[in-house]
Amino acid sequence: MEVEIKVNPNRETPVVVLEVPKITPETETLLVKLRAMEEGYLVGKRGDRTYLLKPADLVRFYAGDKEVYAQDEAGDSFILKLRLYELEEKLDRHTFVRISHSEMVNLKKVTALDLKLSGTIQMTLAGGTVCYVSRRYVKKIKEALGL
Amino acid sequence: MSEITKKDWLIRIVIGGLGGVLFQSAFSTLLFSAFMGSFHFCFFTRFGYPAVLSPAGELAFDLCCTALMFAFGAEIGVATLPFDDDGKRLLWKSILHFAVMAATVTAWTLLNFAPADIPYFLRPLCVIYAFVWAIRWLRWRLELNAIKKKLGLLGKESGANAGK
Repeated sequence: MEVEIKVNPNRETPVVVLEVPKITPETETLLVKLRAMEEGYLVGKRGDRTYLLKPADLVRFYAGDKEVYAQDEAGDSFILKLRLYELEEKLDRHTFVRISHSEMVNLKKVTALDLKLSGTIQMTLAGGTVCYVSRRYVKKIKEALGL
Repeated sequence: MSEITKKDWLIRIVIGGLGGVLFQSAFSTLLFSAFMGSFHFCFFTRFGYPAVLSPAGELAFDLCCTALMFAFGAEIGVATLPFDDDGKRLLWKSILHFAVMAATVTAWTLLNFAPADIPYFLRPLCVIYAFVWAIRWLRWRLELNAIKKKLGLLGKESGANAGK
């Protein structure tokens, strides 16, 4: 692939043009990544396909099997290239909160909260996923909500 | 996110333990010396040392009581640390802490009173433990309600608990 850049002082916003002989999986992936950068989307992979994921539509992010996954309301999981700490930096900290060492949730997708005898909070997300908030991370939720 | 380290435990043990010994010496100095006219390091041996004890035995007796007061103070010092955890680990740490405190209280009672007196000292310990747990749970419940209110979830039970 050749990379060329043209400086045009008359342009107000940058435009990226891909000149290709035909659309290939490689160019599709490149397009997806460019759109993600522009619109704040995340790039996730499921099987052989790459998807543009709107953070607001996701219920949680979790780490497992040396990967980080994003999960939507339907329960589908997508592999992300980002680490959880990178997601914490990238996403709105008032909406996306770490609830344990290996999990982050979208607070706008929380449908129920229950307290266990031992102080653990059971959190139910849209779509029915249940996760547990470690006591050490309750403070983060309170900070995100301005409590 | 802060985590309790071994250093935190050690600091609390030392400060709590010294506090226990200080309490013992202050209490015995104030009360025993003031009313009995003589000084004994261990207040609770005012009931008299067992007749079989020699002076060395009395010293050992005092040291045992002091060690137990150190232990009791240290146990109070670390009492809140198990609550930094949650789930089964919290429950186990709390049970272990209670068992250690009960053992300390029992040993101290056997040294200073009679075995039949053990329940009189263990019962208040149980009550205090239950009270502390109740207060903790109430705090957690209030904290959760504040979060639920912010998220617009007050009054909503999860699918697992709804209808129970």
